[in-house]
Order: sequence, then structure tokens, then C-alpha cells
Amino acid sequence: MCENADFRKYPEGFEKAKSMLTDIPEEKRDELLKSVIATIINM
Amino acid sequence: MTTLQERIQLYKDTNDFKKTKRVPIQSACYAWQILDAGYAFTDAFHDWDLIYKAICEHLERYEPDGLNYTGTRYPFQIAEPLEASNYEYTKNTINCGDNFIMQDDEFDEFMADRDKFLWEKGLCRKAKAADSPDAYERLLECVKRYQEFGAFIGKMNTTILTEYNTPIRARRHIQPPMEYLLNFYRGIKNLGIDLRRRKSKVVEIMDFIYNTEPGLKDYLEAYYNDDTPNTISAYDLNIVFLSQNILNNRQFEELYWPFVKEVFDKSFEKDYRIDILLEGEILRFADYFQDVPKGHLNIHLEMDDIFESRKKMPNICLTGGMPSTLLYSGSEQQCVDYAKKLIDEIGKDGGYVLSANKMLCYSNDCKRANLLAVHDFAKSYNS
Repeated sequence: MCENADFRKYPEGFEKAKSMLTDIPEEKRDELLKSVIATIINM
Repeated sequence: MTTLQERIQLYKDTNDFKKTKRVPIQSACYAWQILDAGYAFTDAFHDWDLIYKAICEHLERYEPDGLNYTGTRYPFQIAEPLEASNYEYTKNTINCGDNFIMQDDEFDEFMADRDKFLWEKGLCRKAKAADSPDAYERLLECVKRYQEFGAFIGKMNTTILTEYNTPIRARRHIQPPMEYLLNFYRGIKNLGIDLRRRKSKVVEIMDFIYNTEPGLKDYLEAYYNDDTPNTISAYDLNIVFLSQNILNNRQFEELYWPFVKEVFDKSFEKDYRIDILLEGEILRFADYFQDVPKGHLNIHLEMDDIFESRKKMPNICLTGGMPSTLLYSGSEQQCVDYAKKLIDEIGKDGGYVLSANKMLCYSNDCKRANLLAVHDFAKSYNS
């Protein structure tokens, strides 16, 4: 289980989440995570 | 069997107000497809295979020429690991609250750093599980589900096009900037108040949204510069209209129409065809559409009287008109009679696509026997 104290902070939480997307090429992580966030906000 | 290109041509000819052998039939069945296939929302919204099966069954049973719902409208499961969905659903109902993430005094904060705002105020406000010990793991599960959703869209669209020879609604989709405010950032109630109390901020933030949302300025530039032939749809662009329902004529002219007009002008210059999916009403703004060149615009009506709309918008192809109340409560013969009236009075010389007058979502929006009767009739009727 991950430590989540910085989850709510930007860019800390965002960057940590990105770094955890280990099976995604680095150059695609930013766009992917932003798309997921947009989808969640739209729901 | 009708080929994909024959169906696309049928829509194009209809849009051009040419006399066709029959009118196109557009399925406006949304979540109703899932119930009609015998699945509960509570199961289907967690299983893309069930939605895939429901849509395939719908295409096989009713053989529409096009369909509005291709499974993409309800990706609730992506947001659920973080408990961030604003939708509630049971086995056979769906409800959505007024969705917003931005408070009255946060317009400037949003525009100062959009990414920061969307993370701290957007995601973390919506996510009830943002403070849970496994928040990151939950977010990774959201990412995984998002990727599964992407795979589903690709598979579904390929099946619709290649196995069922059915066009995709449009090659590209956009929402005017105000729709981002209404649907995602401010909600209906807040935006209604904003328009009266802080109009200049609304103007400012819509301009910001236009320049920063991935689905607007850059997306539209790519659309305007795309010269590859469109072989998957009769329409090059689909635009969703909802905010016009809370606007008076002055507000529509000042805050909504300029964006739409620019998209129209640039699209029509390239001879592109546009399809508007309308929620609510548009008839009181009909005058704005009078200069649209015939053959370039289709509007799928919802609450407007379609016969009155034909009189006031003679240059626009109209889709819809078949009352969902009749599709549920009427007899098969009453439904067929009404479909005949629509085709005879509106579609006799082209310019009409037969479809329901609203998104069919619930079990009492439609009955299978009635929809089958209407489709069977329309497939062979030549007015």
C-alpha cells in the first residue's frame, strides 16, 4: 500500500502517480494521466 | 445487404434534400439498448463485454442505418475506484446530479494554473477516496479501466463499421466552450447565476477554455486541415448543444453563437457536413440558422415540435420526431402511422432522418415490438 500524504498536492501527487505508471512509456504518461483525470471530473 | 458506403450515401443524399428510396433510420437508443438486451445497468456498467453484446444485438435486431450510442456514454467504472462518479444507477435507472468542481470565486485560480486546479480542486474534490491510504493504487486502477475503455471503443467502432456496415455518427466530436462550464466546471445552476452576476468572467473563462481544452482549438485546427476522405460517416463533425436551454436570445447571440458561427463558416468553406445533437430546445433560435447552406447541417431535435421546426428551418436536415411516449405506450399500428406521417410530411423530398425524439434510456422509453414495427415499416416505405 502506498503512502498518500501528498496525494492532494500538485505537482507532488500528480508526479508520483505518473512515476507509478511503470508499464507506460515515460513520454506518454502525462497525457494519459491528464485524460484519466478529465474523464473522472466529467463523470 | 446494405453496404457501409451505401448507408453513408443515403445520409448524404438525405442531408442534400435529395429524394431517396427511403429515409435513413437513426437509432436514438442509449442505455435502453442494455435493458432491451436483458442486462442490468449494475452489471453492464462494469463489463464492457456486456455493452459490446448489447450493441451488437441492437444492430442485428433493428438494423438501423446509424446509431447515437456506441457504448461510450457511461464510463462510470473509470471513476469508481476513487469514488468520484456523480452518477447513481440501479438495475434499470440512471441519475446524474448537477456536476461542478469550481466555486464562485475560483475562476482566476483555474485560469492561473489549469493542471493544478484540475488535480487539487477537480480530482480531489470529487474523489471521496482521495484521503484513503490506497489513493494512488485506486488512481492506478482508474488508469487501467480507462485503458480498457479505450480498447473497448476501438473494438466496438471496428465491429460497427465492418461487421454491421453502419456508419459512425461523425468523424469528430466537439462541445462549445460553454458546455464545459455547464457540464463539468460550474454546473447548470451556478452557470445560470454566473451569466447574470459575473458575465465578464464567463466570457474570459470561455476564451481560456477554448485555448486550453484538448478538444477545442487544437482539435478544431486539425479538423479544418484534415483533407483525408471521410469513409466512416456522413458527417465530419458532431456538436453537442445543451447550454442554449438556459440562455435568452441576447445571451445566445453574444456568448454561444459566435463560436458556433465560426465553426460553421470554416466547415462549410471546406464543404464539411455538421451534425448537431441537441438536448432540450433550439426552435427559439431558429433565425440564427437561416443562412446555413442547404446540405451542410443536420440537427437531431429533442423537445421542439419537428413539424414547426421544418417550417422555420427549411434549409436544415432534421432527425428525430418519433415520440418516445408513443414508442412505449402506443400500439404497433399507432407507431407505424406516426412514422408514416413524419416521413410523408417532413421527409418526402429528403431532409429528414427517422429517429426518436429523445435519448431512449429507461425501460419505459420504448417497447421492442413498437421499435421493430417502425423500423420494418421505414425500411420498405417510399413516400
